[in-house]
Amino acid sequence: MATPELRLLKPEPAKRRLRPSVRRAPTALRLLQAERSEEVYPILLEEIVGLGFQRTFIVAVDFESGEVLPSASLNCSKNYLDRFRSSLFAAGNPVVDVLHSQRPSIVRDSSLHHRSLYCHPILYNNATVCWEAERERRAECLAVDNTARRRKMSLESQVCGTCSMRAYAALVAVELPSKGTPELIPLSNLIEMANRYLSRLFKVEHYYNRMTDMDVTIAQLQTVMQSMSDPVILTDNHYRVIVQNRAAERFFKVPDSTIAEGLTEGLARAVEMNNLLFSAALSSVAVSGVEASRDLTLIDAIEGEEMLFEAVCTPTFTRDGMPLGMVTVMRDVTDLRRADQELRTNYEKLRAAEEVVRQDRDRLNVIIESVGDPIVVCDGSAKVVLLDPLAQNLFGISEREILSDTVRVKNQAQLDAYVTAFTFGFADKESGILKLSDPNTKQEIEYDTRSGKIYDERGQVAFTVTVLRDLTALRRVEQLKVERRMLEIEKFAAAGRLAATIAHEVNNPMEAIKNAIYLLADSVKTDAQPIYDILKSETERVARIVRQMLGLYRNNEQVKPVNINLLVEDTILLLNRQLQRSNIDVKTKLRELPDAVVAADQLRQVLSNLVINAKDSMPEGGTLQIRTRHVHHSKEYPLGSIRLLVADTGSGIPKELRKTVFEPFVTTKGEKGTGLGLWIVRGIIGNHGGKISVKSKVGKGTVFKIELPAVR
Amino acid sequence: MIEARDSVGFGRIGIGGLGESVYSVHHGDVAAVVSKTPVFIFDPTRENALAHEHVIETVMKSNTIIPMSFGTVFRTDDDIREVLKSIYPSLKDVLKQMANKLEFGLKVTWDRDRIVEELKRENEEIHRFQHELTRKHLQSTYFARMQLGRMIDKALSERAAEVVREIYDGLRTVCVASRDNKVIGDKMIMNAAFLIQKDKETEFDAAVNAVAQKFGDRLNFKYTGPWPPYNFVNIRLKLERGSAN
Repeated sequence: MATPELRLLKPEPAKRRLRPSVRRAPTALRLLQAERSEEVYPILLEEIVGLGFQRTFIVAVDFESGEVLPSASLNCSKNYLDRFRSSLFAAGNPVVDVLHSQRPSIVRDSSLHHRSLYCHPILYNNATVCWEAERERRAECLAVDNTARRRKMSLESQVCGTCSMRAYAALVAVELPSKGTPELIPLSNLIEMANRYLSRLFKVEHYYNRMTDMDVTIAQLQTVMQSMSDPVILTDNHYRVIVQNRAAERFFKVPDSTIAEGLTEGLARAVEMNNLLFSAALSSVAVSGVEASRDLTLIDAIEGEEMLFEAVCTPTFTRDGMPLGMVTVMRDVTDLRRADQELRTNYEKLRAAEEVVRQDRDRLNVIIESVGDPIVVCDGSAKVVLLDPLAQNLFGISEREILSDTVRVKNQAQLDAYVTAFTFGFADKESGILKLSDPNTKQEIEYDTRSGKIYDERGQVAFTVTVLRDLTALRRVEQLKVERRMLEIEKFAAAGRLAATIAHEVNNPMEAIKNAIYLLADSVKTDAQPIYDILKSETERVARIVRQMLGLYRNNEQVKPVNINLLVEDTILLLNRQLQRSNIDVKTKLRELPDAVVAADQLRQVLSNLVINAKDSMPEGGTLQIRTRHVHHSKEYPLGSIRLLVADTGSGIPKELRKTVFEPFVTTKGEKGTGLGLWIVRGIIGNHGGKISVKSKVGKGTVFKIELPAVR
Repeated sequence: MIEARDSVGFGRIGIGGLGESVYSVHHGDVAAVVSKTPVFIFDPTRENALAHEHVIETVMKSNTIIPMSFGTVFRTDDDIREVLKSIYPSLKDVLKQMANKLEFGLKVTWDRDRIVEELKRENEEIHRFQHELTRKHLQSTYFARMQLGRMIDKALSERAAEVVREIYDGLRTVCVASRDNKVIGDKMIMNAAFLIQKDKETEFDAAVNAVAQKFGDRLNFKYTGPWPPYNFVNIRLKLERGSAN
């Protein structure tokens, strides 16, 4: 804002210098015609000269620098004026002293000048307070203060407390004539009148400058508002839009171009809807009367898409606190909310997945812990990533643990070799045997390893899982079985030897008894005949037992290649009559067989024992089936075997006897049987390197299965 | 490590630049090929690495080897014998596995930008999304761009997995084992090692060529070898640890 001092330093316009001789308008009228404050001083000086004074000038205070400088003059030389250049702080300068006193006075001749000077200070003043002070109901007004002489002539004192306007201060000096007493009252009145006009113009100019400044500020604010990408809207108390920026117009104003081209209904409806939503939002916020924010969904009138905004509404007030309206700034939070939503969803998903993973992990841990076998998990580069406690004991966890223990180094090396080969090979599953050592007992343990692969999305191995199974227990059971079998064979052999010895010893007296009984046949009385028959049949039974016992160890028979099918046919032929008598239907299915190297007589005994057993189990008749076939390859008989099945539809073997049916003196025939038949059968088959097993169901029948090696 | 019952010499080609002779230390029919050196860990300089490599190449010419990692140092020959003894069955096992085998490396790279462009054209979902993105006003595209980025990333890794599977399938029949190593950088999609039966080398070459031809200039194949079977022998790691002072 330009200060009056500056304006006064401008050269005076020449056309305003009116000659005293020319008839002029009355002073008040001339002053009234002044449009600008700088026009007042020349008029004043002219009027002073018009009053008959010779020289007159005005010094003004520059409040920026504190200088006191001549600003207008009439009939004064430059040299003359220069004498009055001074400063507000100059002590002893009579002119400055008058300024500070703020009262007109006459300065007698001094070093500055030869004649007396009438010095009249003029300050911005007025009898009544200005508009602003009045509107704000403040008593503090510089103009009134200066009138009442409550202010000092200092830089800071000449600023209005209400409108912050910096005022002017000057001194009108009029040289008095050396002779006579001039009339000073009209002069004083003239100066005061001019000062009132000056004060008024000064205030008007102050308002004008303020207005110009405000225009600039408004323009700047508008630019700021328009350049904001967020919609900004100023509304009045009735929620009518006063100002809005371009971003807001996109939602709340129907574009002019659209009107010209023909307004689409959808667009107009979207805008109408937005305005409705906005008014509703505003009215809900306005109730609180303080800054508030709320979410607002608007429709993009051009794209037709819904967009989510956060509207921050700030109420505006007049200086005296009356509500003016509302400023609303809207922030596009569509992305934010969408991202937030997605984040929430993902978080929930993650939580759920985490829960599933946790459960799975716990379940897996329980499984791993309860498996009771060492488990090793390796990654795609065959590096161990997980060991269960048992595996940790075998392979060690820390490097130090591994390196300090040669057993573990060895175990690790074996595991590495195995896992590496499996990981990079193409088999999905693998099993094998690892011979590891127990780090505690140093004993070698055989492990059965079973491994599987887990693949990643590239189809490559992500992890391998290897379960090691301690075979010690299994091996022990196998060992026990072998030992038991050996024991049984021993038992069998011993029993056989014993039986053979007894049989041999008994056989001779038996033969003598039989002969004696035979010789007695004719001399038996008729009534003693039944007793004789019992004696004869029981003796024969004893002889039969003795014969069987002897047959068991008659190992001197030569073995030779025989077709088992022929032996089967022989046996059936031999027993055919007995079978027919018992009403037994015989079915045979004899496939082509290779020769087996066997003792034919012993095999015949086996067959006849089984067939007679079958017959005995079917007293009411039934079906006897005999089948043979060649099994080419099996684990037990790599070179093949001959399988022989003898099945009946008889009474079956009771469950409690099934396990011991091959033991000596076990029979299902009660008194009738010796309990040696099946024992002998198993002995013969065992001697031939074969094996026999039985399956039976009480009431349904029994199947005996014999396997003999094809090549011995 | 080699399989040999009698001591073998490979000349004065030892590491360290002093021309130390390279000889064998035995346990039974398994031997470690070594040279004398002060007990310290060698720096993996170019010179040292080349010397190590040279020894391996020389030994490889006449033997099946288990390569040791660079800078494995033992205090005495007895220490070596001790190690050989302790893991003898495993060494024998691995030597048997590696007999008459060679390792080849195959690194496959692609022009990522080109594939991204291809995806934008060919992947219907991405194409539609991209189109929608460019058509719309930019006001809410930040989120959408992020989504697009994620979609492209996912499609890229799927495409890479598909291609890699196809390559492996094409080579599986002519190799004994394969190893999928971590890829390096943005452009590489496959970093594999293959173990080949020596007499199938030409077949493997042909298979690699066939696969490379199938993909044309869309993929770049870098095929190297034969190497010692570093990638298929894990046992060395434990020895390396054992050697640390």
